[in-house]
Formats: sequence, C-alpha cells, structure tokens
Amino acid sequence: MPDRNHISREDDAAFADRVAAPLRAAERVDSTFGERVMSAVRADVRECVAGRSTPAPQRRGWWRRDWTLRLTPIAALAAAAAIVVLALLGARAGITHRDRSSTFASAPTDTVYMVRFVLVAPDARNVSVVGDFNNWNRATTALAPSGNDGVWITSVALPPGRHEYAFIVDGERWMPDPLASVTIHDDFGTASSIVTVGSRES
Amino acid sequence: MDDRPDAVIVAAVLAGDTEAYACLVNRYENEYFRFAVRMLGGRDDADEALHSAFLRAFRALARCREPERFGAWLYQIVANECRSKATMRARRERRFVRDDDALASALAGQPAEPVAMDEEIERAIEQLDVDQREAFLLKYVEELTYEEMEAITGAGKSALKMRVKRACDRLRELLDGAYHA
Repeated sequence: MPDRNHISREDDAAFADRVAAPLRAAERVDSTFGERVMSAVRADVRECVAGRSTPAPQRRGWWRRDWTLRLTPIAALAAAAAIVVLALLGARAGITHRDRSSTFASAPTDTVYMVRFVLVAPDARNVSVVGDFNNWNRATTALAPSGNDGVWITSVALPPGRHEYAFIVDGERWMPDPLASVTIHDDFGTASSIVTVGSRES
Repeated sequence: MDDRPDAVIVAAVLAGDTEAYACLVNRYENEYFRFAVRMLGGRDDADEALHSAFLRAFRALARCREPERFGAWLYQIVANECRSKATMRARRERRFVRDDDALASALAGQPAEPVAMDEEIERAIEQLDVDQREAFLLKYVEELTYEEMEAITGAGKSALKMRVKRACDRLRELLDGAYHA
C-alpha cells in the first residue's frame, strides 16, 4: 500500500513503482470466458464453411473459382528481359481458362490477373511469397531462380482488388517487397507490401 | 493441461483442428486480462476487449510470422484492442466532461484513509491519456522492458520513455492534489 507522505518526494521510478504496486494484483477472467471465445471461434468457422465469409485460418481457395487469366506483369528492374518475354507470350496467347469442374458458384467477378512477383536476392537459398491470396502460407508459393543473377520470380493469379503480401527468404526472413510502391505496417506490427490488381480495368 | 509449445498448437489449428485453439486461449487469458482491466478500468470492458482480441487472433492466425512467439503476437493484438476501445471511450466521455479540476476536487474529497488509496490510483490511471496509460501500465505494472514495449506498441523507445515520464508527471499531479489538499 503506498504511503501518501512519500509519493510527492520520490523520483519518478520509485514513485511509479509505488503507484503501480497495487495494480499488479492478479486478475482472472470468469470461468465462462474460454468457452465463450471458442463458441465465437466455432461460429466463425461454421460461417466460413457455409460460404458467408472468408475468415482465416481456413479460407476458401481462390483457385477453385471459374477464372480467366490475363497477364499484367509488375515492374521488376533486374528481371526485365525474361519477364517481358514471358508476359508478351502470355498476353498474345490471350490465355483463358474455364474450370468447369469447380464446385463453387462463380464469384460476382470471375476475372483474375497473373501478377508476377520478383525479388532480387543473390544470397538467398530459397524465396517464397506469402499474402492474403495464399492464406499467408509460406509453403504454398515458391519463387524460382531466374538465371544466375539472384533474381527470383513467380506468377500468381489474383482476383481484382488490393492484396497484401511479403517475401519469405530462406524460410524465415520476412521481407516486404523493396520494389513495391506501398508498404504498410499492419495491426500486428508486420511490414507488408500492397499490390492493387485490376483497378483500372473495366 | 496441454503443454505442447505454442508453435505446435498454432500448426494444429491452421491444419484444421479448431478445438486446439482452446489451449492457447486457456494459456493466455489470465496473463493478459490484468493489462486489459487496468487499461480499460473495468472487468466488463476488459472481458469484451480480450474476447475480441482472441477472435481476431484466430482469424489472423495464418499471419502469425513466428508461431513460437504466439504470446507476444497476441499481446500486440490485445494492446491494440484495448487502445482502440479506450480511445473511443475517451472521445465519448470528453463530450460530457472535461474537467480535471473536478477530478482533483473529487480526489481531495476522499477520506484520507489508506484503504481508499488503491481506488484513487485507479481513478488517476483512468485520467491519463490512452498512450500514456498504456506505456505506464506496460512498464510498471506488466514490468516489461522498453524493447518488449516497442514490439507490442510499435512506438519507438524514446517516445515510450516520454510517455512514461509524462504519465508519471500527470499521476504525481493528480495524486499529490489529492494528498495535499
């Protein structure tokens, strides 16, 4: 219990410590707390399964929708030659793919865009990209080395909209895209990059 | 009691074992409840904030970069949740009362009995700006290092030190007013 006569004369640390002492008493949630949280979690999962929302951690896979591909390469300084060739080939081919075996109804917007992710990381042993499009799963989308100049590339089909992503270097180092024009720090203190897909398309 | 490491439980949840999340809830609910209670000044609001934080953490679990440090990651979410709630409440309350003198008077009017001291401290804590309150609680009640506080709040060390300093000055002002009136 703090002594009133001491408080005004103490230095900050001692004063703060004295004031904080009674606030350190333990507090416990009520006995129903855990079950209430889990009920909400289960309801969330049920809603997800019913297709009314797409909460993590188990999201519906975007790859199971009907989809059309176009090639819209993003800027990539070091990998320009290889990327442009691939992009042009793809665009000329006018790639269109309809997945008739889809078990899901078509989304209101069924267009997806091929977005190329490029990272220059000469010392990396492996690189993957994680984002809202692959449920931030670092094992899903690996980049492949392109030549011997440390350029890593992959292409991902993304629906129109704003997507957050980052690179994982050597399986552990989280890295926002140094070439991205927008980098954000999310609610969880993590720096991620933003790519906006199809915003100027009709 | 499930003594599997956090990373193992996180992996199980992400693989579809939703019920495994209960282990994480059980592991951290009381650990962070005190902070929420002090930050929000009451158990009901703290319960609501913590509940919301656990649900948000579940939804974002795949974005937990270091599952072995799930607890630290969750702490950020809890702190964000409390900060948002406290800020919204402060804005709401500011519409009705903005009278620090009234608080000092109220505190001065309290009987000078030791038993009332804890309540006076709690009331003074509630009068701090949200950022200062958070910094003070993390530093002196949760007894975290400035490095840990940086990771949780996203603020830099010098900003946090300044917030703690200002919190101390303000608390001294509020509590001294009560003691010496």
